Amino acid sequence: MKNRLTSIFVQTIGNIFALWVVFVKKNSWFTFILSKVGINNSKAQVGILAALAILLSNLIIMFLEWLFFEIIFKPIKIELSFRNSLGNKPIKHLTLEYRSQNAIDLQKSYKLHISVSEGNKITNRIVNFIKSDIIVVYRPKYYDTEIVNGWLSQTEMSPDNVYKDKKNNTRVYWSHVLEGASRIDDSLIIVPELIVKPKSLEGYKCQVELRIGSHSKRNKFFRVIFKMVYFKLITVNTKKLTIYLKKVN
Amino acid sequence: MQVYKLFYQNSKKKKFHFSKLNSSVITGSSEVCFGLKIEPERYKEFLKNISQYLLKNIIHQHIMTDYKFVQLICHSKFLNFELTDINFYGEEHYQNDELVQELKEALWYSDVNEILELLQEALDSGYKIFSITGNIKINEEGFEQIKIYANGTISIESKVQEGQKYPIIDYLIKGPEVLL
Repeated sequence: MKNRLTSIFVQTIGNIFALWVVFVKKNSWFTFILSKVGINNSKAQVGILAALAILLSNLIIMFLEWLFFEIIFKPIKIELSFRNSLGNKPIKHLTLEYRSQNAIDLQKSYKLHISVSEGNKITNRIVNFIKSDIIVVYRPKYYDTEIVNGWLSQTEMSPDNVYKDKKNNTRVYWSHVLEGASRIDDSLIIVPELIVKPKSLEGYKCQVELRIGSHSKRNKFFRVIFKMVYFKLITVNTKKLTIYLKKVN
Repeated sequence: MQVYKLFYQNSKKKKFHFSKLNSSVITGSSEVCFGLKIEPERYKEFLKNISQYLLKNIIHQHIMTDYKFVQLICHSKFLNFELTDINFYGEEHYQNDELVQELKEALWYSDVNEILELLQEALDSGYKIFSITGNIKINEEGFEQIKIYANGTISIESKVQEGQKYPIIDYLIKGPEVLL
C-alpha cells in the first residue's frame, strides 16, 4: 500500500512537471519545428507536446529511481526464516506434542534465521543510524516467549539483542550489524533462539509472523523517518511459521 | 508440598484481582510477579479455567531455562538462597555418572564456584536441569525449603503464611535487574 501511495505521489509530481513543460514550451522552438513539418493546428501541437512531456517525465522518474535506489541507496536485502532448535534445518511448522500427564512441561524452542546482505555504504549507514528491529508476532497470542540465554526484558537487551517492547512483542534489534559495513557480499547471519510455551491448550494453531519495524527504543522522530523510507531502503523476504499443538496418547 | 506456577504481568495499566483467579496465590516483592497454586495432575483444567483471563489481562507465564538456573546459583548469596540439590532430566539413567557424583559432592561442601564449573560441564555435555532445591531465608528465625522446576513452577515444603512474600520469585521472573 505504501509503495502504491509513493508511486501515485511520484507520478503526480511527474505529471505536474509535464504540464509545466506544456505551458512553458507551447510557444517555443518546439511548436516552430512542428509547424515546419506541417503540423499547424495549435491543439495538435499542444497534444504532441503533452505526450512527449509525459514520456520525458516518466523517463526522468525511472532514471532518478534507478539512480537513487540502485546506485546511491542500494537496498539492503533481508531474508527472514525459521530453523529448528539446533539451527540446522529450515522449518515451516513447529509441533508441540503433549500427553495429559506432562502438559505442564510443554514448551519448545525454535530459531529465527535473519540473513542480511547487499546494501551499500550510504544505505547501510542510514539504516544503522535510524535503527531497526524485527518484530515477532504471534497470531493469536496463545504463546509466551523467552530467550534461551537470558531474560526477555523491556529494560535490558539480551546478548543476542533481543528484547520486549511496550506491547510485549519480542523484538530483535538487527541493524547494529550494519555498522561499518559497505556492500555486504557474504550475508550477515543473526540466529536468536526463542522458547514458546502455550498459555492455552485449546488453541491448536498459531501463526508466527515476522515484521520489520523501527527500533522501539529510538526517539519518535527517527521512528517516523524510518516508517517513511524503509520500504525503499530495505527489501524483505519473509517466511512464516505455524505452531501446532497436538495431544498424543 | 505445595506447587505454584509462576506468572507476571507486564502492563501496569490493567490491574487484576487475585480473587478472580480462584486459586491460592503467593507473590514476589511486588504483586506483579506471583504464583498460583496448582495440582500438576489437573494442570489442563487449571489452564482451561484461567487462559482467557491470562490473555485478557496480559499475564504471562514464567519460562525457566538452564541459563536462569545457572544465574540463580551465581546470585544465590544475594538472594539468601542456600542451594542443596540439583536434579537433571532422566537422572535415573546416569545417577552413577562420575560428573553427577562430583557435582553432588560439591553441593555437599556448598562450594558455589565448583558447583558452577561442574554444572556448566554437565550442560555442555547435554544434561538438562530438571530442578534445583534449596533453602530460602523467610525471616530471622528460619529457612524454608523451596524447589524450582524447569517447567516454570516452584514447590514450597511448608504451608505458606498469609502475607508472606518471596523475593526469589521476582528474580526468577525478571532476572538480575531486581538485585540492582
